[in-house]
Amino acid sequence: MVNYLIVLFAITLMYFSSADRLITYVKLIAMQGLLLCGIAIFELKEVNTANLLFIVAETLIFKTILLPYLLNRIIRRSGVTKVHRLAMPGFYLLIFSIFGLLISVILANILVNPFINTIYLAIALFTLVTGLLLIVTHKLIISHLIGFLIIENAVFMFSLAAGNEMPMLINVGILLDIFVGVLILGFFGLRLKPHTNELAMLKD
Amino acid sequence: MAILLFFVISVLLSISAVLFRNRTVTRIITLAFALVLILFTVYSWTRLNQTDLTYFTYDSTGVLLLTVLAILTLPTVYHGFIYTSGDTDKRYNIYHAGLIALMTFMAGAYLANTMTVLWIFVEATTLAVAVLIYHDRTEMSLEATWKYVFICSTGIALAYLGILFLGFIYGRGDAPNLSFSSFSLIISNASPLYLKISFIFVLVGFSTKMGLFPMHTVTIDAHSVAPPPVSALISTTLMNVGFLAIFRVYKLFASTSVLPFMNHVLMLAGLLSLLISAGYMLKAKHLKRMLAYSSLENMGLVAIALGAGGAGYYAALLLIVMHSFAKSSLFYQMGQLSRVLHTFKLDDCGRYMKLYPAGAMVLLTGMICILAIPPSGLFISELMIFRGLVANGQWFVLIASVILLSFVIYAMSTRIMHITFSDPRDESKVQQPGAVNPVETVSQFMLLAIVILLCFYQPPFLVEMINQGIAIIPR
Amino acid sequence: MAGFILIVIAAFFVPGMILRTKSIASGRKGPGLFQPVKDIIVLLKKGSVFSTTTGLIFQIAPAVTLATVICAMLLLPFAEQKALLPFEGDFVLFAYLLALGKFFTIIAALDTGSSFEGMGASREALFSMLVEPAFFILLATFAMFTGYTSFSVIFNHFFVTGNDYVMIYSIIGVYLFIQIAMVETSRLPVDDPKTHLELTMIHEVMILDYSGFDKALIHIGTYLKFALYGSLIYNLIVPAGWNIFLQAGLFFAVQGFFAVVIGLTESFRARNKMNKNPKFILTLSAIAWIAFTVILILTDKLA
Repeated sequence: MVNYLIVLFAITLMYFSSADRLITYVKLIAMQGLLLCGIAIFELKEVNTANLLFIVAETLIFKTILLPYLLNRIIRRSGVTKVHRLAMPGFYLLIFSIFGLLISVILANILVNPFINTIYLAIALFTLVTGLLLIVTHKLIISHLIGFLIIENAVFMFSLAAGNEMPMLINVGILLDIFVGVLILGFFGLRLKPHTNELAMLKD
Repeated sequence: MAILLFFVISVLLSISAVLFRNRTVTRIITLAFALVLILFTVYSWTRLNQTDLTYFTYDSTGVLLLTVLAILTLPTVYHGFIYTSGDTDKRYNIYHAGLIALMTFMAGAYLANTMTVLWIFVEATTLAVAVLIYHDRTEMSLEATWKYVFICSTGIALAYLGILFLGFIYGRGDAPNLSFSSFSLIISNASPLYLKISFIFVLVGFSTKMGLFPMHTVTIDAHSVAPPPVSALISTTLMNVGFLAIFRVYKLFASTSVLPFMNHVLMLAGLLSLLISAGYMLKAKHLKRMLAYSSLENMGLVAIALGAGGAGYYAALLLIVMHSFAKSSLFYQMGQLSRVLHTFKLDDCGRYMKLYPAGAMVLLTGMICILAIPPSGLFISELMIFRGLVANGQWFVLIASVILLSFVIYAMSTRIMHITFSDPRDESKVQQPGAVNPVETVSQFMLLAIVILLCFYQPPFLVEMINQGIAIIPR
Repeated sequence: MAGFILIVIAAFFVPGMILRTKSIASGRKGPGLFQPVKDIIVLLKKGSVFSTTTGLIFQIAPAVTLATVICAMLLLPFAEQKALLPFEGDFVLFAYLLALGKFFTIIAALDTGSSFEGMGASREALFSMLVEPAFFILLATFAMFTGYTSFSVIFNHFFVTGNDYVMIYSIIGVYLFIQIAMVETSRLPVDDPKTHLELTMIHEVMILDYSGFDKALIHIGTYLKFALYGSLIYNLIVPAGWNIFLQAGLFFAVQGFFAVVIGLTESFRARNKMNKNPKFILTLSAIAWIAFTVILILTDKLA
């Protein structure tokens, strides 16, 4: 069952490269939150109930409801609805994404470890690559934020892979999530101009 | 127990600084915090190598850096009072509350003995610094704050990935304790590939804080935009936090087979930092930016020192300590320079010696100190680094760093001599110079005096502390 | 043999079903179920008119297209019977036979000297190139999954490998084949068969200059292609071991389902913006690639 969820997760990542409107990104983030919640429920069988409940609640409330809501507000307030035309076209991004999946599968096989499921490693690395790709190729601040949220999902997935032995790691990863959600989205998202092109005053 | 008390008091002081609307009360609270921090540092000297509250250890390197922070506290607070005296009450209070929070979190980060607790405190410092950088509320400061917070958060997430890779080397059923001491017991049977990946992630992630090559750009922006007393603090003690994080991981992995790999990576990062700082400093037109690049250059030297090994370990820690003193005094002086000349742009500054001789003397002495020209203490550490490089036979690194350092010396000395002695290039922008009390430069001279003193005489307790910190690394 | 005949029979009513579905979805009653067949019979009786700018290629292209489709039909199995000409790696021949037919259509379109047809030809070439990896990666996935490389053997063994993930692959395969079929036969959302503006046509514009008998040949080829892909989809849904008469009935049911899906998709989706089409088609390849990666990991074939 976990494998189905992980495959769905990988498909949402691929879909990031071909999406056109920013609202699609927000819906994909919400869906990823839901999938991560499902993966956490099925994977963490050896963690005590209170901790598990905390993790599930946090994933549901933060990643699925609160962060997409904040993102939605920022998008509507900034008035930018489509991915910026100066960003790399979706076609090339998709090709990079496919290469990213190839690289992460190869890396996951080099890093094979008897304690971690290989598919976790591969898809978590792919998530990291997609997040970095999104940050590097897009020009809007909101796209950078979404790329960062994807990197956080990668961290969460990595920590789930080792989560049965060390629930403390997952909790700390969740702290990162809350920190981002509260500070970055809540404060900055509403004050900055939408285009990073205009953040060019600090240079030599 | 003591550290819990320290944290609780600091949090209370920080919150109360915001609550009361009275400036005098805020000043008293800040001075009280400075006193608490100094007392705590003295206390930690008496309790060396003991563990407090399970997650904090008063180990020698941490206490050494905490001492540096404690010495810099009073000048920072003093110059901060002067700098923010023209602000509204609310901003004044937020500034000081942020300052207290920042110093508390840094102290926590210095003393943490677990990877995750260290990570949490470093993350918390990012939050506190954001408040301080945004103090001026201009567009440039908003841009710098946004970039700083965003890139630091990304870096911290990457560093956390590095920590997770460390966590993977535990098998099922082992004790889930992530403290450095328990890691050192099992590190020898970890797969080298995992260690290498973990080190790279940690290096890239914490390079946002330390200001080293991969993600140094945000520190440059942040240091040039923040208020000068804050710049003094974050350009020195916050970079020390980044250094300490990388150093602890380095010490942990030093006993395994990845030591040559780590040395290579560190040397590469250090050389590239030197290259970038030399290149950009030659075209720097903003004085604080020039000083920020100088920080980048010194951090590059520290990385090269770590990579060189042998005498380099001692040199790295010595350099970190002395750089903190020299750079902070220069940044305090920048605060005064802005009040005299009303600008940081290089083209509009000039005749500083005539306008404010005491400050100009600080600037010149600071320049000598930071450029490692004898009698500066940094000269001793650089000499040790070069000796270590020669001992290893790494001629390319030696020659490249010497050449790049000469570029840096040229760039910085021409700029500072120019603004001290010559007329401004662009006379039209020169405004009526302000008047500054020369008494304010006393703290800066004292810090520079410490650096010069360390060139000739290194007190035994300092030598002892540094040696304890680097004792377990194989030469 | 049975498979071949069934595909031909299905080709009779699938286009009609698509048209009927579209009409009913729009609220009309629509033409009869065999209207396309009647149109073809009318066309077959007419003569052809050739433009003076065209040459030999233009005249032989429709026959080549039909021939390639019929040859491709020889490679598909049905139930437990093997195809008429099975061999190892025959899915490669399958893909390239269809590509050969498309190639002849493209160069015939260039032969006419019309710039509209050239434009459509270039677009068609790009989209076929982009969807080809999807097909091959998908077939490679099935080949890895079952361990064989011939269509007949793959489909015979598809449901009996005892692997837990058959359901996933069945679903992914059906989804991707429906999309690939819609791209290869030039339906929405890649190409609108009902558009009358040459600038927006892709496939229609390549066959714009054909008339009479040649046009009938091209239409027969297209209808046979529908049934061909329907048969591929059928093989992924129904296990090969069941009763032969039950299978025949299910075959027509699946073809009908396929036709209804195409009809509904065409009724409710608009054509993509032309510069979004490459991205849309590449997404199919990307999804196929994910499926391939997952099967590599799940069956422990890596390392």
